[in-house]
Amino acid sequence: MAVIPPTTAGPAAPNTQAQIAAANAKTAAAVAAQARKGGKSGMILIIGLGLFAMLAIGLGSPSLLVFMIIALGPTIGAALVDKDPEKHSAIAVGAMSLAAMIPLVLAQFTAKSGSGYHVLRDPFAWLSVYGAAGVGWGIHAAVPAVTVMLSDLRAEWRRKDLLKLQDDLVEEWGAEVSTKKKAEQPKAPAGPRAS
Amino acid sequence: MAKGAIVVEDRYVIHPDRPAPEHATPQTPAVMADDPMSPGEARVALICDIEPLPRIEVMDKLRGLARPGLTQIAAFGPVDFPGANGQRLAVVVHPGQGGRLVAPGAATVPVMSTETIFETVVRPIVIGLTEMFHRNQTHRGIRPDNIFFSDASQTRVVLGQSVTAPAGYYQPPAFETIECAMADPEGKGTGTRAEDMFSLGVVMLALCTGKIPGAGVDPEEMLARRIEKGSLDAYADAQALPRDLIDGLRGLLSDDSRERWGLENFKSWLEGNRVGAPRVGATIRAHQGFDFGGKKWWTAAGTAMALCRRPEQGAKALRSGAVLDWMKRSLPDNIPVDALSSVLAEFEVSGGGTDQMLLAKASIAMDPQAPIRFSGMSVRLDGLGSAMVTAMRKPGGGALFGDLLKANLPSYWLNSQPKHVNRGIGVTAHLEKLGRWVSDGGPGAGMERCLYDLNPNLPCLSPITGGRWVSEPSELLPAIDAAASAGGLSRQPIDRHIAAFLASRSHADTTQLLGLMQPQGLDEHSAIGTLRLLAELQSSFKAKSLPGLGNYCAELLKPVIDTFHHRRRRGKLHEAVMAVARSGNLPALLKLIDDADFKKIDRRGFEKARELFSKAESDLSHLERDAPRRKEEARRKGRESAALISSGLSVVTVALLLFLKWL
Repeated sequence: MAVIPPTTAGPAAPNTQAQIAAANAKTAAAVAAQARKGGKSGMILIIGLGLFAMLAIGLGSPSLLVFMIIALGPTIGAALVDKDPEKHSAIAVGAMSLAAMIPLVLAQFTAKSGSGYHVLRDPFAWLSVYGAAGVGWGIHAAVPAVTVMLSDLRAEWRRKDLLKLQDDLVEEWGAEVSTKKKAEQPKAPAGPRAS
Repeated sequence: MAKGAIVVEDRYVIHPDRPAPEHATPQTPAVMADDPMSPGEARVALICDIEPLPRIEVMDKLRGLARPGLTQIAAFGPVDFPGANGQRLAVVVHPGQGGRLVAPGAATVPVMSTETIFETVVRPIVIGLTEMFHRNQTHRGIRPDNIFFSDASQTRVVLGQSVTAPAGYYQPPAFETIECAMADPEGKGTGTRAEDMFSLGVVMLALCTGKIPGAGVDPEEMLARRIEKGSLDAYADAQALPRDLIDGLRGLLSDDSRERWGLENFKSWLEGNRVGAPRVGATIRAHQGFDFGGKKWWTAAGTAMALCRRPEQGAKALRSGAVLDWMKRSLPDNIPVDALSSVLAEFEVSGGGTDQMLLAKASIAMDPQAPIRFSGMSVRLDGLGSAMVTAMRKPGGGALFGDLLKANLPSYWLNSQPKHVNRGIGVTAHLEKLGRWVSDGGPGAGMERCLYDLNPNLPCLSPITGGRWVSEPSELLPAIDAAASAGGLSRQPIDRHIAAFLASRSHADTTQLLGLMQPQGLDEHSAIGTLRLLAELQSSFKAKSLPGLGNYCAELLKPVIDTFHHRRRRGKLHEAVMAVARSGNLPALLKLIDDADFKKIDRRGFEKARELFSKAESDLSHLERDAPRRKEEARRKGRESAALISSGLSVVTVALLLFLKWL
């Protein structure tokens, strides 16, 4: 049976594109897995609480329950569309939808019985709820773009700093500072003795 | 003193346009000179080249010595002589006023009475020799055409100078002992007082007979006669010589140096005391002659000489055993027989060897006191140096001389000498060193090292010195500096001659010499070694400013300066090096470039800078590599933030609305 010799090199930094990609994927997967684990339980908790509240409210007024379910349609849609395990889009849309929905639900509760107001028939309510969902979507779309842009900006500054440092070192110590050639240049051979 | 005048020792002015042929020798022109401190007194300057090699050690001992019987050497020193390629050594002498005793090359001399010989010639010469011997010097130029009358009335003589060529160089064979007469003119060696005494004897003989001994006779034939009969009997009929001179002549012309009179015996005899004369006819003759070269030879010494003169036939005779058989059969002395047997056995065992080597060793075995005879050269041990100078200047001569040294023939010769011969302390070790050096191709060795070691006064023969007469290491640096200033210094700052010269005269380190000889392969260590050597020489010899060499070293050090990493510091160092180089202070240059602390600081700084650069490189690479992950992370945080913002907004909005509604 062939014995595979142990590798002598330690856990060196990846040095090929494939290795780099593999390492990136591994890191991303690890981060995602951790996020997924933490996010899932939070999400379940939020959904559970939401359903409980809806049911609690809905038992008193089925039409209000219908309103809430329809109003949370964009949130549910976001949760279904978003592949992010933490479902940030659903949180963003849902939070904004709730912000619009809660005053409307409270208004319905507190409306006088003879007033004839019903939230399901209020176009302003629907506009508010879906407008808020839109704002939520907007926030969810804009903020990551801004953070990526800021990250790029910081990376570019760092790159420029490093390049300037290298230029300064070359200026001060010569091009040899960037290569091992000079430092490791072997001594010239003594040559044959003159005859 | 006129500008551009040729001056020796800041005093004697030489006039190249006023030749003095009566004082010249075949290879040493003579010109008139003036002594501004003694106007009106004639001075002569003898202009010497390197070959034949002048006897500087004798000049040094006799300089300024004014004694009867000796030509006074007033001064000597290198001069730029018009028409000469490079500097020459000018020797300023006080010439005799009455001309030569005889013209050079004359076959006859004016016959003198015994009284005149003693008073006019012999006594002044004895005074002169006494002075020389007192200073441990030999004259080695006592012959009639080198004897001058000191006064216009020709009442007394002085010995002419004998310092412009190797000892005995111009001596006719007849005025030399048999051993010296066998040697080449440049290889006769300094000799001993005994050689001078012999020459004096021949001068006395010439003056009383009116004939130059050996004149008109083939030198080889005369030498053969001298070997077989003894010099006195070969030169003249002893019976026909004046009775009051015969003892003195026997005493001086003995061919056995142990029996030959010394100066004290001769002086005693001159004063009328009875001194025992040596035995005559002590030459060991064979019972039967050895037929060789159309002649019968009766002695081992004569046969050895004949064999060497005809090397092809000589080697054949030796290899056939004919010579050994003859010696065994006819010679009463067993010593040369045994020695020759050993040589032949050695050559038989070693499978032959060259004819020339066989002849050289066989001739030493047969006649140990004769010079070393090898491939047409004939050199005495103390003449190796001057003979080598001449050999090196002949095509192929250097290689031939190298073979002689490689074969350790000088050691062999020395070991073959009879017990009574003084071998000198350390001579054997020195000869072995020569054999080693000649086979060593490294710097500071080789033939050149032998050359300078055998000739302590030989000026450096390197063309880099620009023809200057450089006889001391202290003079070498200014000479190289001048060559460097004139742009005459190529990539190689020294050659084999300078390396050997320095190794011999200043015991320079061979590694440093190697650095100096191979700048093309020079690493920083060798370059600093080179500078260190030159700086040490400048310090040791207190040489003045050497800007030419300084600039040369600055060029040499450029790679060393380049090893400093810090650009600004390197630039400043380069400026400082150039400034110090221009000042010609090599020790200061060395101190500047060989600063260990400075190097350490630079090296550490550079290592730190490299680390920083490398870290920056790694960070940049990481930034690029990590961009997708970073963006994803930023996006995730953005989404979280969006959720938080939405939630916050929601709470605030609800609270606000509720507050407005129920307030």
